Amino acid sequence: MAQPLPAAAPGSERTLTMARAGREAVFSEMRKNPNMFVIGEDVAKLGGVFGTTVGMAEEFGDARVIDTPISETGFIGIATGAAMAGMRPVVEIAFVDFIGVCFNQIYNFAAKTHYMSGGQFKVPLTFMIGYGGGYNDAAQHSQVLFATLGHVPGIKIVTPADAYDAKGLMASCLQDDNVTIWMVHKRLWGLGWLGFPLPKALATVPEHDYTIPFGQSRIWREGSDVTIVGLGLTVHNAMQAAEQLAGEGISAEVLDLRSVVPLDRDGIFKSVAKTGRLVVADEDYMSFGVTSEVLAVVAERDPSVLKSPAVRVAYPDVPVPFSRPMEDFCLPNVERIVTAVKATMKARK
Amino acid sequence: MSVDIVVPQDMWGESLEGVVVTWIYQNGAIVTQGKPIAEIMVEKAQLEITAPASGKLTILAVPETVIGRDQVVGRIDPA
Repeated sequence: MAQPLPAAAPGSERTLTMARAGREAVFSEMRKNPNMFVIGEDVAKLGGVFGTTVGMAEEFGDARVIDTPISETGFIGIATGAAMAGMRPVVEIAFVDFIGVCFNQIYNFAAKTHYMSGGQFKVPLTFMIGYGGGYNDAAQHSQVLFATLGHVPGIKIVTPADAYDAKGLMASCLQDDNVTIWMVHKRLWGLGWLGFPLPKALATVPEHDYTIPFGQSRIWREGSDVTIVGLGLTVHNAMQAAEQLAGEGISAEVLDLRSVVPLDRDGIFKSVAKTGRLVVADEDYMSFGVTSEVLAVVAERDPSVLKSPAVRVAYPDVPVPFSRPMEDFCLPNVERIVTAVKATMKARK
Repeated sequence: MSVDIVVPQDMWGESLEGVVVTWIYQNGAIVTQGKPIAEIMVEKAQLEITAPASGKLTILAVPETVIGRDQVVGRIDPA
């Protein structure tokens, strides 16, 4: 581990976007580990569609930062094999939607090899993936797909909601000895062309290395009446909803899952047991999704902690519409979360 | 002596304009010469401005401000 640097003078800390914070962790691990390399479409010359690899080709050269043709099955197969042979590949898939192209390599090979080889082969492979909609990019460029990935055993999945977590969770992914996916909602990268940075997604990020453990949720706001569980962008929607609800006398706790797999079941249950009400906000499709899994935690452990039925605010089970008004109607926005919370407050056992 | 933070003349093509996306340091922060201090965007490309001197940062062009080449976007004063 690198030595921690002296702390910045008060008021002179760095405030980073999520793209910059995430790639800082990659830079650091690349410097420490000569077996690590980055591969994907547009990672070298462009620096990543979402800025995840800016400056890496210049520092590490074209043997370690590799631009590929548009052939996900090919380069993910390469990365999986390289990982089995002792390398530590970092693979960029800019849009999660294209995971469909190469899913066989991921769910049949990368995710299962450690188990099927009786632990003889590790697959230390990290994916950097963008996801999410809200900017008229239609059904094949706006999906979230947490559940599609999370359903397959053997893959850890994290999705930071601010720059501090982006760096720490990325470092955890890169140091893990099996398949990890670091996913960032496109609205949160902080690039400008996908929206200017959300103030709460920018964060003070120390220059020294640090990790954030998998499966540890984070309470963004304490509350006593209802727990709003979110992840990625829905954390920010939940925070806005909580502020609005506070003005109406409703005290909402906002819990950020941070990891989809492993899921912080203890953290979820602890918060819901305290507040007695539950709303889950997720931009992935509703059925068989993260929202269902969070509700299952409470149903399996002790549904009697709930004072009212839990409410899910997720994407309806339809392809993402191109039309802006239709897309807005489907997104788990602040208004839908506020309505859901009010429903939990009205309903009585 | 205070030093202006100027968008370099050769940062992008003549006919384009840029926009300030974010400042890495807050107004009044102490910055170090040569370190990146701001991110700007030109036609989806991300560029960064580095500190021309060490000292105390004053931000003149806030995020979302449209900027041209040669424009003064901030100032650095001796700390």
